[in-house]
Amino acid sequence: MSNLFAPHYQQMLVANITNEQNNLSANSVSEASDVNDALFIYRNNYIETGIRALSISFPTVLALLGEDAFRNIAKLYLIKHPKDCFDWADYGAMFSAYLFDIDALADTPYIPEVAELDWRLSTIERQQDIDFDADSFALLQNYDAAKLNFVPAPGLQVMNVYFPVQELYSLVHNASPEGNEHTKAEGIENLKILIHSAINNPVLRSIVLWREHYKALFEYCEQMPAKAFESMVNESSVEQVLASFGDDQAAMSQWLQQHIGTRKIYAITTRNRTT
Amino acid sequence: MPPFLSEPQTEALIGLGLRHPHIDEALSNNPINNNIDFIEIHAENFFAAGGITQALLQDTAQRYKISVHGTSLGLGSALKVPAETLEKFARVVKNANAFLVSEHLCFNRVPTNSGVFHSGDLLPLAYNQQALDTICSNIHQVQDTLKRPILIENLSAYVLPSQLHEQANDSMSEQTFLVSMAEKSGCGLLLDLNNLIVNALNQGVDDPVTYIFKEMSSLPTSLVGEIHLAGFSDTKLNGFIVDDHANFVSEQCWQLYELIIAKLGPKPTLIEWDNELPSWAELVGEAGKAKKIAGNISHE
Repeated sequence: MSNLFAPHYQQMLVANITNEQNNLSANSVSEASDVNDALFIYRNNYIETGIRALSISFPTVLALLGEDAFRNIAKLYLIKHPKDCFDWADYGAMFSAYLFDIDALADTPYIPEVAELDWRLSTIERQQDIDFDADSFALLQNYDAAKLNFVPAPGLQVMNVYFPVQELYSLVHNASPEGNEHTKAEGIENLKILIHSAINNPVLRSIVLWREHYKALFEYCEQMPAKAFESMVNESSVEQVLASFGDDQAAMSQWLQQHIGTRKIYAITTRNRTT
Repeated sequence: MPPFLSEPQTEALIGLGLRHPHIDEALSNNPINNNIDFIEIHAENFFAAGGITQALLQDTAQRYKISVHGTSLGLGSALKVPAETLEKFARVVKNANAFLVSEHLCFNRVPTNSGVFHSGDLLPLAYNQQALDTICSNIHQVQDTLKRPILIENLSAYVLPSQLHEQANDSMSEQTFLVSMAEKSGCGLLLDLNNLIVNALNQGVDDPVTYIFKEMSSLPTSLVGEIHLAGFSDTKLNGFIVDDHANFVSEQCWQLYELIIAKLGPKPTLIEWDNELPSWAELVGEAGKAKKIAGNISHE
């Protein structure tokens, strides 16, 4: 009979760890208060470890919200979206969407986009390493572009945003403590104008994200380059990627040169017959 | 030679856990690092496919022997470890050229309506036949993948399974469970002395050192492949001493260590410190203390 019951005990312990209410679930056989005191240790450990993990993956959100608000929101998220992965670094994929639905964040509507940026940056930094292959670019000179592929930088991707996430990110991560107070105030005022503008006149903009060495980077990009990057990520041929620029050969050449130089493009390969 | 060690042990190797704030100092040329025989890493911190953690693993492996300590496999869970996770674990073991590989005597996953919940914690098992069969089956799965035996660490626990479910009673002692698990699965044991002390203190044992030594001294020497030493915070949480690895190795833990290695002989020994981290030099000092104790002991 015992074969049937140990998993029930495991289910019961876990249910009590993730239970929002600090009350012991049914079927316990000991004094509820004694067991609740013990279960609190596990509940506390789950919540505190989870908050720590989310604060590592979402450093910009943490800084913009402040520690108390971040802790409260992270705690609710941990209960609403219980951990399902082995590595805490993989936990938080739904955090941005969760933040979007929080009424208390109505006054800071840019937070979900910042969270999405944080998440993408943290996942890009964990992507498989790729070797930059300068010699491979010679293929562009003597091979049919329809039979070639770009090899993008690790994690290269395009994200679309309404809010000035780059400026918000810089406010948190690039602020110099010795910076001129007047310049800082001016920067914050400018940021407020950009946010106000995004709310009243929303325009979707593209950001390209990639990894250089071990560091995930990002920058705004225009419509044509963004289309080319998306095409590259979708494993289109070199010919198809470059077609994003239409007849504008100068723009195409400049894009290619610039992004090989900035290591957003790592290599050229010949396409598989099946692609 | 115990099958879970890659080479015979004639003296106690003393190691430290590698934590992020200490990385630069641990990899520096500071002569104090010559006192460190091995470094323990948590496997999950190196699960990423690429990036800086893989470079760090490479640098650490070039400098030190590495013990890979898993904290997420939850081998007492009724669910198998997914192949993808095992592959990541195996890759870390391979890239670290690990001389020891270990996990915990715990469960951490249960099925839910929407999939699987992973507690991210080390949750206690009942010491009964069903739990023994489950963990042995999962240990086999890991060992078959790694093609080597692993060590399983005894746990600190705040709740007894039978307190939650009347059918989850223990049918054997912790010591019997550990030995049965090792004999049945071929794994070795990682004896965490601090966990034993925390459990004994939380159970109200007056003299934990004598009590634990009596319980554990009959463990077959050949089954123990590693020892963990640690300390805990003075502050209790809800009346419990918490195994938080946030202090110097406790005096009780040093006393027990002395008794245990006199009985079992030299074993690779790790100083664990995970929270409220001290300076690297202080950690190295703790390792030196362990080395001195081990050096002064002639085992039975």
